Amino acid sequence: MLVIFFRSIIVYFVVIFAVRLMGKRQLGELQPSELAITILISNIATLSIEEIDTPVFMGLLPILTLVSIEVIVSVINLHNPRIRRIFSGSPVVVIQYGTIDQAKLHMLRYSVDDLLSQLRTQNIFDVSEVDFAVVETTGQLTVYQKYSHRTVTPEVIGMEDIPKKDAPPLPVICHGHMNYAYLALTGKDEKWIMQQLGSHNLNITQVYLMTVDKEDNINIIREDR
Amino acid sequence: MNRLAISIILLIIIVIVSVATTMDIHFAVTDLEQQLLELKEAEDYQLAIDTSTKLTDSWTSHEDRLVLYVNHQTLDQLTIALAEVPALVQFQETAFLHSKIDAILELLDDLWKSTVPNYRNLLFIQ
Repeated sequence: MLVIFFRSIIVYFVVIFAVRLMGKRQLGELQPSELAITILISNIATLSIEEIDTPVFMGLLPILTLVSIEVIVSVINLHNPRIRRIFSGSPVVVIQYGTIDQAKLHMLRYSVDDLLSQLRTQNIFDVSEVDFAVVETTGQLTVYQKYSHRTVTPEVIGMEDIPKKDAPPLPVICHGHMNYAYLALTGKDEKWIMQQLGSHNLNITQVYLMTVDKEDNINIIREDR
Repeated sequence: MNRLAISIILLIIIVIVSVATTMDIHFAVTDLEQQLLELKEAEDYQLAIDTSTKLTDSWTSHEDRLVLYVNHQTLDQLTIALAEVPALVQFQETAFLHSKIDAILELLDDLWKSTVPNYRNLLFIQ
């Protein structure tokens, strides 16, 4: 039992390392090669935990080999479109100028129900609202709506542009700890933050969350203690 | 690019470790095979006893390392077979000893064949 317990811990850290090595992209949308690696890793990891007759290195070695090869292949893909097409495929336009390309859908083995279901996930219930739709290499459907059905933006209704409104408020203090990366983005320094806290009779440890936006508006939520 | 560097370094380490373990298995198999053949050819009783003791000691030291990267079932088979050798030598069961030595040589040969990549163990079975 203890052997399995410690093996699980070892495999846990190695898999975390492996997934981190593959990068953030891996956690969101999976390309075909990434999906294959993810399935393989989960299977191999289980074997190296359960099969105590097999040395743990024999389980970890294929995980690290697969991840290393995946990272190397993804870098090659990045620089070579032809290889990228082989490993990830290409996006396919399934609706063009409002017309469904049935041959492409058939080629993708994508039924009209699949198409409608994907459109509904994007709050589109009528195909006639769609100008362009593309099935991405990850299998997701990207939709470009017709002009008359697009969301109204300030630009469309001729509102004045306010560049300062472009940036969201940034959390400069979370749980009493200064977030220096966000602080740098706000263009402020620690001294300015401390002055703001001082004006509210607070010290940093009493702050649960403090945000600052481009217009220097601050929002402070006190730690509930 | 950091990830690429880590991946390349990892792959190099994996290849080095794999080659090193293969060399170690080769060394262990060759050493044991040589001692087994010496034991098979030993005509003097005392020489046979000494060789079998040396063989047991060698196996113990090799097994300590092999257990890290060889399937334990394979090692168990070898351990069981090798454990019978000293008694067979001691009681001069020559026929049984020779057949046991041949069986161990086969097991060692299988271990080596499953370690070196070839079309059989890559595409079919170990």
